[in-house]
Amino acid sequence: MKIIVDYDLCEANALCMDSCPEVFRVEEDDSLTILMSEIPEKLRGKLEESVRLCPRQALRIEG
Amino acid sequence: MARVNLLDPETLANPYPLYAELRREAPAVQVDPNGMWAVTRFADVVEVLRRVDDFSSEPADDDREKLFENAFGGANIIGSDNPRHDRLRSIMQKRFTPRRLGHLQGRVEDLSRELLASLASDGEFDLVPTYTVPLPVVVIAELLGVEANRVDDFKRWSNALVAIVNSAEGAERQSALAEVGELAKYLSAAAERRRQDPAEDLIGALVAAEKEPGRISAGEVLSYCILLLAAGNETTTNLIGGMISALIDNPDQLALLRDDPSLIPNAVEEGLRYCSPVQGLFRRVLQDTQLNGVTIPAGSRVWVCYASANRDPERFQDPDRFDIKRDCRGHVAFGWGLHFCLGSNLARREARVAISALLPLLCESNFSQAVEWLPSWVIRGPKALVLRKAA
Repeated sequence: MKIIVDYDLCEANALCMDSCPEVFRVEEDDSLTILMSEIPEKLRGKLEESVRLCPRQALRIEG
Repeated sequence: MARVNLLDPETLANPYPLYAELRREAPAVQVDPNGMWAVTRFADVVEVLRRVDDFSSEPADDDREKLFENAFGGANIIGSDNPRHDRLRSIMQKRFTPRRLGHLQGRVEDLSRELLASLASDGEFDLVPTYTVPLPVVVIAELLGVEANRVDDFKRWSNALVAIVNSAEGAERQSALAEVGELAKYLSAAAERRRQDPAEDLIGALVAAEKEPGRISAGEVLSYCILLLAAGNETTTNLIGGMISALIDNPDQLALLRDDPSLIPNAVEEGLRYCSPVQGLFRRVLQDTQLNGVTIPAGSRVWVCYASANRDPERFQDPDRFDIKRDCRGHVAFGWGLHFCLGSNLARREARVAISALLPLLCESNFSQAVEWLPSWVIRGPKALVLRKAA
């Protein structure tokens, strides 16, 4: 499973980091870092919550 | 049901029973003013906000918002589809992130304290002119880089903008248009000063972007400034005022907050859900458009009712209860998706500080309140919020 970020939409609201800190880190300069290129299945629930809560709908799960 | 009018005095005083009826009726129902199609269920509201290609944000020639565009010589982000929306939004995008706004914390705290210190101490005061209005106005004026001591002018101008969006007619509309003209003149001059003498404030950032070919026109700069000034105060004023009113109405929730101020951030989210200072915004369909079985005819204006979505029992349990501990994430008080409120993090920060600073006073005695709500179906909040100490 992978997470795809539309960086044009992302505005560092950091709700994804609240829901799933294993995968998302909003940096000091407000850029978003994805911490895993391949995400284990056990994080699917948290990842789906991140996708759902992103106010700008900048996230998408692939796989 | 017979066609309803959102301007009926009873509905203006409390629109929520009508929203509940509209939610039961259909995914989209034609209402007045202007025969708009009201979308009121949570799931349908989110769907409309997602389908940006079907539901356009750009006003038609006879919409009131078009007046502003023509008068200022450029559109703002609220009234733009892509690519224009992203072109304009990206200029300000990184100015309103939670971290970027962190440096404001101390200033907002000081300001709250100063305003509260000058409240009348005779046990009766109206928090609107003394607290909920000046706090956001001064903050946005300082961010923009305009004279914060003209609070009264900014408020008057912002009221005029709201009056026009609110379908004012006749003499009221004429005087509102004159006020808006004054506002445009004032901000044009402020932008011009920045062109001569660059600065780091928001107006400075907008005029700096003018230097990039095709990025932003002078008319769009003016439109942006007006939007930031008006949206930056009106909505936050109404959020803070609405929350105070809800806390006075719900002493159990006030007590929870007093005992555990760490609940304030979630209380603000619940305040957003429960009060929905922007009750809804507009879209337009350019062709016949299906929304979950209803055909909305080409050219129709659509009223996307955030306030109703936020009270939809399909999404929020016991939605008419103000419950500062509930999980209210996912509310649509700031909209959702492409047009999600640019200033959401500013509004949140201001509201958290404002409530936190006021909390000791609210808990000091039993207050009763007399609230007069703004006579608007678009913007909801207390026009007057008089608190009286119980004898």
